[in-house]
Amino acid sequence: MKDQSIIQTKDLKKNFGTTKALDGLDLDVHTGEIHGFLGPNGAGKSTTIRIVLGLLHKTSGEVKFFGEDPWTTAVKLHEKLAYVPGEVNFWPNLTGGEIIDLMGHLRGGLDETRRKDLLGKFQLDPTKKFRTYSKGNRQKVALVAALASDVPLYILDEPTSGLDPLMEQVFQDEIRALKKQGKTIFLSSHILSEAEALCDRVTIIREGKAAGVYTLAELKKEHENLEKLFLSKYEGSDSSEEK
Amino acid sequence: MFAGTWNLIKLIIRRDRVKLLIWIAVIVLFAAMGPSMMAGTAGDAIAAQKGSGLSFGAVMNFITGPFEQMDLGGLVTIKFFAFLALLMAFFATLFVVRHTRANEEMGATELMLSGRASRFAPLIATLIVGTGAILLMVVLIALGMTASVNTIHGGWAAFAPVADTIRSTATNVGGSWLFALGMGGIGLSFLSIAAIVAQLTETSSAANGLLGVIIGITFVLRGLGDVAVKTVHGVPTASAWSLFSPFGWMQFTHSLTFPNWTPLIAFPVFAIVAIILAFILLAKRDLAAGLLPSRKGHARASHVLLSDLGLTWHLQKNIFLGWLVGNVVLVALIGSMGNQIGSIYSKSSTLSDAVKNIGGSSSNLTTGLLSYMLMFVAMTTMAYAIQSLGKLRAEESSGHLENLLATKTSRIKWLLKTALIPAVGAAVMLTLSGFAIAATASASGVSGINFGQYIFGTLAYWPLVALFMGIYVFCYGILPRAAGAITWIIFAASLFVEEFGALIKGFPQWISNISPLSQLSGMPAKDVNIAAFWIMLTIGIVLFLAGLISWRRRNLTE
Repeated sequence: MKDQSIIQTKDLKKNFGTTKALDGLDLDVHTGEIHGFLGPNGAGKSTTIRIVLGLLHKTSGEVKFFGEDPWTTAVKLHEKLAYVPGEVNFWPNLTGGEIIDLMGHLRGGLDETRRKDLLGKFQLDPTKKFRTYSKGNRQKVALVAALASDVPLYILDEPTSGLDPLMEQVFQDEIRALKKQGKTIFLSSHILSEAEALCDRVTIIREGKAAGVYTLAELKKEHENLEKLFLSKYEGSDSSEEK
Repeated sequence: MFAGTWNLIKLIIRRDRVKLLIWIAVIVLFAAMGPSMMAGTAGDAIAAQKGSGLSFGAVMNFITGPFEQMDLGGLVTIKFFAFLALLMAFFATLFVVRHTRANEEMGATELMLSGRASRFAPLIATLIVGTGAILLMVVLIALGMTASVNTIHGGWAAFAPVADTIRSTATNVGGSWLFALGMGGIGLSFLSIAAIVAQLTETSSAANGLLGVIIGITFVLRGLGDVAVKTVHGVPTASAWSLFSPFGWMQFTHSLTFPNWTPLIAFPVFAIVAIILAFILLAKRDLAAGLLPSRKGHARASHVLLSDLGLTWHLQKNIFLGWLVGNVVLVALIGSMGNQIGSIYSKSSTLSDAVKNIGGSSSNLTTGLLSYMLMFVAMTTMAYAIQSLGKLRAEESSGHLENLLATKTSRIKWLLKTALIPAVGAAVMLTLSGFAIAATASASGVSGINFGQYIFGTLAYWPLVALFMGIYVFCYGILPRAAGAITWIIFAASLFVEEFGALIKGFPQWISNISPLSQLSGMPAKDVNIAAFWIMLTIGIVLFLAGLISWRRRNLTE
């Protein structure tokens, strides 16, 4: 199954000073699937993504991204992905439209019909300066910029935080459409209903380690729903969650 | 109206406890050290002026104010007035914007006002703490200066050549307090101007930019006033231009030479009117809104923005244009006074010696003084380059860079592109400044201006820019969070050595020797120090490359 893997980590560790952000994480995202990456705040989701993108240097362990080391070949690998960061921060005095064009251009191309289509579906006014958008609209800028790019992989870090339920629906439809085209989606989230509605498989992360990998079919067999499973992973860990 | 003010006062003091202390310490130390620092060499400096009966003349007046009296008081005034007054102005404006508009922009004000705080409380608290800090500075400056000048025989009137003394009534205590209160008045004026401007713009960067322009304009207005200085009843008095500038009001007190307390009244009157206006504006507007309209933008990115250097130019262009306009206007004003220099100074041989010391070995006074001004241009150009490079860190810490580096943009290319703008920008700025001073001096009637000599003479400062860019990038590679602070401190230290090193008795010569600014200076009147030129260029490039390599290897940090 190894040739199918688009993102693969083995015993991945990352320390910030004395803090262990990742403590031996195993992760395997297959080509063509929607892979959920679930965990509470501070579990190490964003750190993992940043290592996979080559923005952070791993402390030890193994990372393969399209079969290569993301730290040394970051730029070549980035041509194949679009990314929505966990905290959407764009240049405050550029407009949403300018940012979407710019990010598309930097990723190597923007599908014009797609851009128009997505702006309509997400009901985003592209003429406003980024700093004047509300939280949800900022998120939409990042989403439109990412989804308008034609790439094999989409890495989305809590992409729907701040979106209203109508927009959440638009988002889910778009993600399903992408999967139909054979794209891979790596979706970090803590909105369990969203993950349950979309994902083929989920990895649950706890304190920098994988606490389990499930296909949705397996999950439905063993647990009533994702929420029950998720909560069962964190029972009795209240004290360790606090800093 | 005052609800919540006390809590906000505590919050401001808590947030700025270190910042405030540093500002206060720097301003107070400079003022307090002034007299004893100058005492070592004051005798020589005044002897150099003796007999001419003239001050440094139009060009120097423009920058430092007139040399009102040939004694310690006069010397401390021209050496410290402009510097301290500008520090005061920037302290006041940055402080107000940080605690009003910047909070509003990031949403913190919304949170405060949702609690038990009145709409006016943030501005009231800011003005109270700001005024408190200024008052503290006034007291400390006055006490420090008094203590310092008391150690010098003759006080503020020390070193006066007897024949030249008209009268000097500045007592040690009175002069020092008047000087301190004048400085405080400048701080208070800009505190209240900033209170107005913070209501006008939507962003803190726009507010700071607008305030920078206002400080620049008021400083130039008083410069024009000082150029046209006239002696009224034995006291050198600036012309009407200075009436329109808080800097000018302070100068009208002649605190250390011919003290006059009356002009001080201008400061509280102005501050009260301005602060009332600020509160009227605040009462009229919505939270987070400005009074200046915010424009709608383009739905599509332009070809310029999508071009290779588009984004980095977009991010850095305002910094470039601001410094460029400031520099060119300054040198054009100075150049256009060029003809006055020659006619006044050709009569005085002692004075020409003094100017030659400043400007180099040239026997041509005009060239010497214009070259001296171009050194200021070199310094501001270096400051421009450091500020512009600050975008490296700002983009990283704001999270913007994460978006970019997740595309096919490489780290190395991103840094090189960001550095290219200030590298080329500085060269353009130096070239245009050299050209502008030559053109305006030529137009004002100075004969024999060689344009090439001025342009290349100014451009010869570029290795200094490269050196400081190298220092910044080196620090950025290994200590990203401290890169700006370290580079600015080294820069400030170099300016200090250049401006004051020679004046302090017993100041170690080797420090002056290794200070980059003293090795490459005085062009085009002086020849370019070829060795220094190449050494600084090489050090700059080596540091830059070392920084680039460590940047490639390090984590992104917030």
